[in-house]
Amino acid sequence: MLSLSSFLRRCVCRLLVPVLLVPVGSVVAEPLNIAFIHQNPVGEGGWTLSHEQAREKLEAFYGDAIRTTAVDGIAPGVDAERVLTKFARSDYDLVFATSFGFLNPTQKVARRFPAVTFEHASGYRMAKNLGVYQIRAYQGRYLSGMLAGATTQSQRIGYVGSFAIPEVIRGINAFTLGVQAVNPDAVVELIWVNSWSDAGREREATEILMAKGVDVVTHHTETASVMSAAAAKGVYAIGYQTDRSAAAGEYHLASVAHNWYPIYQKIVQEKLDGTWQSKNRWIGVEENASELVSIAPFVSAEVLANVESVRSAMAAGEFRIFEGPIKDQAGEIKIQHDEVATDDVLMSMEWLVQGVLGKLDS
Amino acid sequence: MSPELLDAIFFSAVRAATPLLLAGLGILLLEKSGVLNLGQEGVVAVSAVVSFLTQFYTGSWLWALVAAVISALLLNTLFALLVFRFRAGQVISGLSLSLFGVGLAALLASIELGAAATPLPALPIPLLQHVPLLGAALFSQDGFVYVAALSVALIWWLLYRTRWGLHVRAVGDAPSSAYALGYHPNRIRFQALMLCAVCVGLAGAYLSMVYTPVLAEGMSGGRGWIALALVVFAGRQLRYLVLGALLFGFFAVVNLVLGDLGWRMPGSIAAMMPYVLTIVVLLILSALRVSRSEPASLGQNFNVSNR
Repeated sequence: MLSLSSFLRRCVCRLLVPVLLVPVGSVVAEPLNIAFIHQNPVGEGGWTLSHEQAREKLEAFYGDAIRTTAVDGIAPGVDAERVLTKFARSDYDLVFATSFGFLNPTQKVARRFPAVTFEHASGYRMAKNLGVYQIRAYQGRYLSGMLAGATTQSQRIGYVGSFAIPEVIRGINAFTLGVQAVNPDAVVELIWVNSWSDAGREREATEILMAKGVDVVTHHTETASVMSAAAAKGVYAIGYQTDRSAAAGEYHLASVAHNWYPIYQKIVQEKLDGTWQSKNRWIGVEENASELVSIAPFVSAEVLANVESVRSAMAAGEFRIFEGPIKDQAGEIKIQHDEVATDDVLMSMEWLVQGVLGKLDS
Repeated sequence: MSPELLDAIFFSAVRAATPLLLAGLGILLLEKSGVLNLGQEGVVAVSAVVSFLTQFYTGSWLWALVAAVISALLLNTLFALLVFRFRAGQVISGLSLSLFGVGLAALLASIELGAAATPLPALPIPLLQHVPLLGAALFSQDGFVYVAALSVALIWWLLYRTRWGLHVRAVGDAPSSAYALGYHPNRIRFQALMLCAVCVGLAGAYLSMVYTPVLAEGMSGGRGWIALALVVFAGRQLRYLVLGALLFGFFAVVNLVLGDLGWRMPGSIAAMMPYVLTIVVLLILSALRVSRSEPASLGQNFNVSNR
């Protein structure tokens, strides 16, 4: 039978219990729930794999303090929006959207869920709860270019590019500048496959490049098709995104690997400490975010020492790749003498340096 | 443009044309019997992945080939079940088969995604391979290309010089008359389906054994659809099918060397070129020959009860 006193008693109990539990709750901390959404499948061994490798390191480092989950093969657009919304609704505190294609969906979902933190890789639109991050892969590219320039005998180096967007163009330019730093006469033959991931086309492009006489190739595509096609004909190959030595065997010259861990570790730590802020993070060799891995054993100690000295100069901020005078393919000076290209210039780079054979379109 | 580059372009063009030609041969034969099986993209996708996985696990190309053909046969049998037994519409059954096949291929591919297998080595023909230009393109290829070339002759002979081929064409044009004469249209169509499966299975096997020896999603790359379209635009004539496949392969490769030819165009337009140009050329050719060669009963089910 209900009475006023029993009602009051129930109210007090219901109010007291949560109050009593609060100190208990803060001792048993909720793990930080982190979600990753990838566009390409991890099995391709490229961009997505590089992120997954960093995620594994995060789990190993933070143990029970975080709980991570990842989905791959999500197409940009409505699919991505659906998955991001699902993550936001399911109590995830931090969501990493690891592909440029997730630009619009991430922005939309971030606006709808201000309590969830979003980080967009290779993006440029930010919000209070949306940060962006990217690796200065062009630094690793420059170093790999030095290796290529030192290795080539035919003075022709091949480059299989995907799409003519600033990120890819930056890489081509930095690579070519690296080649020219050790070998001013060498040229870089460029072919666009107009796809991030098309193994057959990449192989065809590699074979065309080899028919043109290149003896070192590199790529900006997801699959290791270029690596294996080159190795099959005895041409050296430089991998991208992850360690591609398995695909090229003895013809693997080096790989420009993405190391996302330094960025991820910093972001997660900030979230755990409660100091996270939306930032545009763009880090490179100074934190080993872009590194040369599995360098071939036949590369001479002299070349290695040269590359290493440039790398440490880059890391210390003493050496800048895009420091003028730098000319484009038409011979016009794009970066003036003693001028250093700013991040904005790098982000919107739409011209190829002299020494690259091949146009921006087609 | 150096001779080596020219050689490489023609070589790659023939190699790109081969899966289209193989699949197209099977589809052409099937359409002559009056069956429109739009599911070829799915069959190509599945047979490519199955043959890759088989070669990856057993190391034997022969088994990979057998597995590819068997998987294609199974898929086409599924189509036969839907169309002949359950009397489903051919178009819808074919479309569902293609969706199913592509999805199944992606699922199977996820087992070993990114794995690389040893590609089939080339089999250059001893003296002919040194013939300028044609030598590299035609006589330094791998076994599949030669099989494809022989298959053109074989399919032509089957269709136009054997009794069975006559039955196939009769069933395609006038199944009721054929039935009245004592032939079973659906049985003959089933046989054509099986032969088509062999051809398309070979095309899929080619993709994984030679063309893209790296397991990836979307290995079929729309080639099943392209083969279907080529058969249509070729007016179901063998010679135009061969021409169309070669043209398509050529334009697809030329795409990569446009810069060397001094042509500049945006990447998307360049990617469109093979498709558009092949269609245009074939349309012109078939417009010049006024007669149509579409089998009269294409796409229509034949049922004894309402023939």
